[in-house]
Amino acid sequence: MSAKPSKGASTAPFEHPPGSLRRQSRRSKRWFLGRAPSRVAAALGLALLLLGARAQAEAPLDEKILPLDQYTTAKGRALATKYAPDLKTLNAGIYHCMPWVEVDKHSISFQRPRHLLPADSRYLSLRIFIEQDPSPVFARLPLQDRASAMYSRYVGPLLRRMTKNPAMTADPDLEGFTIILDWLKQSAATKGDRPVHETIAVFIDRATAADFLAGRVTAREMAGGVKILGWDGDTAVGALRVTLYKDDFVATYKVKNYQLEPGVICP
Amino acid sequence: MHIRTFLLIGTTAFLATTGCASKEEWQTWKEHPSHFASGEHLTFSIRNREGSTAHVTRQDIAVSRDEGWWGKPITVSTEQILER
Repeated sequence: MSAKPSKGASTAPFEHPPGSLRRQSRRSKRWFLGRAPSRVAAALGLALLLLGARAQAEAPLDEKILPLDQYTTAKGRALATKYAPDLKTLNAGIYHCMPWVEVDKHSISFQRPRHLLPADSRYLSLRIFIEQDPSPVFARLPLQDRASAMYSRYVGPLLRRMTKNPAMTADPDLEGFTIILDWLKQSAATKGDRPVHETIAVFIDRATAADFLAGRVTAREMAGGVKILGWDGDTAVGALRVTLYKDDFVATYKVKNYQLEPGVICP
Repeated sequence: MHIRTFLLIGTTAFLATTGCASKEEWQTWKEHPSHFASGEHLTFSIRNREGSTAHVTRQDIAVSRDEGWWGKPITVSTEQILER
């Protein structure tokens, strides 16, 4: 845009380069060609910055879904493609309506449970971290009972969220549902230590889930028929059996003063 | 001219994207940057808002989590449970 300084011309800062006066005189005639581009550029720059900031705020939400190129088989990729809107709905629903839980990066997917390998058994999988107030009563429970409490509170409501699309639930390529629950192990939470999580992974095959959702089996019966594995930190504790408690926390708990974003409705 | 224009744009964009919370809100969240990490997150943050006009948005919660996190926890990796 600007004219090159002529040979021997001063290049000191703030000094007008040669030709600037002439350009200035033409500005009124060249408003569209001369001034407008800088204004347009400014407006575009502002718009891009604002869009960028918005995208930055939304990006983490998208990152929670496993990208298509991360799947190792065509079956997994096909399911993730076909039901991408359902994964987004699940992600957004948990994000807005269960703000006390956190879904980590790539925690919503159609992965296959390792214990079923080498079969390509694709399960709709969800992993959440549950934040809760410390409770001495909860901390004193054996792991099996803590697992029972967490299972009772979260597995039913999450399974219902994961099965909102009847077409997906009936898809023969989808063989089941994995729900992984993490929470902070309170006894290990001393200052300076790394936090330790306790984890259970619940594997529900499609037929059992369908029976539960249709009311053909109770939650207790379903719990008796599903596979549940547990971990203390990164140490496997093996299969767990859970005792079910009546727990309507997810349906009734409201974070005080929590303001939903405009347009978001939580059932 | 261009540098000044873009500085103005940058400042405007920064204010537009960070200036949404009230002074009261930011004070509350700044005073307790690690309340999520403490495990007392929900009750604690809610108690601090008793009688106040501030609201907790989902973005507030996300930011607070990011700022106050303890670090990498000891936990089983998803790769140990599931295969991509």
